[in-house]
Amino acid sequence: FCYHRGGWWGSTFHSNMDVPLLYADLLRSIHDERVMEISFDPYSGTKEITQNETEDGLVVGVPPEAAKAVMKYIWKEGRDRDEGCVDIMLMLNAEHGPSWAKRGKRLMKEGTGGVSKEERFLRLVLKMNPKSHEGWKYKAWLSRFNMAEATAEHFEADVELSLLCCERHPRNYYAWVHLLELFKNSRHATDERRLAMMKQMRDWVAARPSDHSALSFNASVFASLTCTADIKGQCLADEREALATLMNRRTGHEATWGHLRWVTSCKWSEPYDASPQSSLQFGLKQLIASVPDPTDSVLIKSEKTLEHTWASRFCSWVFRNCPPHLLTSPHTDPNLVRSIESHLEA
Amino acid sequence: MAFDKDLHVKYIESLDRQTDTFEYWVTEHIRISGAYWGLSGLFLLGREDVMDKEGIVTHVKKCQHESGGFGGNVGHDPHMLYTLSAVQILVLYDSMEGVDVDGIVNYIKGNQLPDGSFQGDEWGEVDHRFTYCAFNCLTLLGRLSDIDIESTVQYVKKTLNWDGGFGVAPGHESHSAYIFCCVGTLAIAERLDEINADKLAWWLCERQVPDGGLNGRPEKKSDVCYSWWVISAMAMLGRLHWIDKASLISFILKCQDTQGGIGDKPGNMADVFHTFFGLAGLSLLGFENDGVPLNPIEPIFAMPPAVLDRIGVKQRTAPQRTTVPKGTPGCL
Repeated sequence: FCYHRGGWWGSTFHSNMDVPLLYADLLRSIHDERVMEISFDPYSGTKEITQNETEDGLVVGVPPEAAKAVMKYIWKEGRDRDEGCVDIMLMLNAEHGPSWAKRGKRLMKEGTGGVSKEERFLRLVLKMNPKSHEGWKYKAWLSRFNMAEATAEHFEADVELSLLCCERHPRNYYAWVHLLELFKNSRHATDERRLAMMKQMRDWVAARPSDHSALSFNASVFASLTCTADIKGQCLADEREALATLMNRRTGHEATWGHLRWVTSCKWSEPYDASPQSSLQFGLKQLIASVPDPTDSVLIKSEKTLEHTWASRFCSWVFRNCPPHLLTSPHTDPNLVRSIESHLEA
Repeated sequence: MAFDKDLHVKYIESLDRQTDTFEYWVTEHIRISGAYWGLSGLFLLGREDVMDKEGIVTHVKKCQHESGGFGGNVGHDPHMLYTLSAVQILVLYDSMEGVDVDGIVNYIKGNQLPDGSFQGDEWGEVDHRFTYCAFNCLTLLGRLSDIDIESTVQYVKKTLNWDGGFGVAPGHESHSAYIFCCVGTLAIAERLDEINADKLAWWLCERQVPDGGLNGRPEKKSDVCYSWWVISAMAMLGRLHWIDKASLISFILKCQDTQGGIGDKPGNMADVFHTFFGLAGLSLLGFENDGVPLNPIEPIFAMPPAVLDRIGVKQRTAPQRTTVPKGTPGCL
């Protein structure tokens, strides 16, 4: 390995990996307030730690070989040697629960005065390890520890971090869990903020139609709204309209068909009590449209097969779960139901 | 790839000898769960004799904390996950003597919260895995009645989602692993009537994807561990026949590592976690190797039925349904 130092790192070019030096420099970057992000960098083309200045601050890149060398160094030299070992351990392996416990115990001794430093560290770790369960667990604990001091700025910073991690790792379960907990429980999550977030998620999903977690998030935020039935009804209508636009443009996604089940089933309950007519009409339209044509290309045939699968499952699901009185009401065309049934039989 | 039982035995046995590897070190804190997965895998293969029983039992007992709970390794803080794994290992080996059982019970009781949920440890994470750990562990100890069962059942019901599934906590996205935990909890409490088994089983059988494997939630790739979480839940619900068994068996077999063990996906390296859950899935699916089935596994407790009989754990019956509903995805 080669490790080249420059800029504020200091000194020399080494023909072999100088791991103690690498350890020290990685630790320094963790504690340098100018560093906004540290990330694994397999594409740098070197085996050196890189440093780039962006408009948000310094971004440090760690090649995986360097990361492994430092981890083995900690392993061989003794991980309990100093607090730095804990910091680096978590940066490179955020799933190490005992290291989080050490940090937590340290913070409890310091009191809430140490929270902002801890939040900065956690941001660095989660940006580098966006789907770390232990990292998100520690984040949740830190939020509880600092609950009384959490401002609206904290709330928005948390939302931004969660969304960044959801973007870096699609369907990132624990990042979405954290985001939902913010919108369910924070005093800064007003109905107005929730409705705005749901709209933001409709735009998010328009670019990411397979993001089932985002759609599930919207369903849960909707359930936490405390506003009037009229406002909720309008929100549901907006959700339905955005979904229909998306599904006409992007076919064959399990996530969107799943969300259509939710939208449809929402309208079965008070005060909507609506027939599934329009949803079934859409289902039939897609069943017909997804019948393959002999002239279809392989790609189109494959897309149609997927769309047909989800459309037929959707219709079957509606037939099995819709309250019988809505399925047989005058607002549900029996010919529509029969057409779908014969398609499903075929 | 054909099933090679001896290769898998060799793989699991070798794990305990690799004590000077980097991988052994970074998993030090979860060693006890690794031991449970490895040992349970050997029980399924009928080769639990290859492990050093005395050594394992002695080591596990040293992991008990003064609080009564068990840590992931000697000197590590106690946690519900490792407490369950420890008790499972000791029960498998019929070696509970000298263990502070009251301590375990008090530790678990101390982690039950007023709303019926369970935290994992002093750091306060609430998660259905710990609910399941509590119910499983206390049943193995014959002490389930020491906790407030009803409040937990009510908490689990609050987690029920519109799609029939369960997430990590109320309101969260349905996930196969948490469904296993909630269904397992309700099965242990004999309260499976609280859920719509058809609706949930429908969601579960939609986890089967074109490669025959199972995923954890919509739009995710298949992973061998869901061969356990999903089908054990379906077995508990009495609807295992809703899954295309042949395709799933074929998928699991493709996930075998040529050097032994089973990985999460075809072509990936084996690890002990996926090895156990792959074998458990094969057992539950009735897979036979040259006409010989794997040893059986009970879906609720993830333990051999003979071991459960030995300690007097009552069999729970699944809600029955004999016909497959029209339009059910995934079934043959």
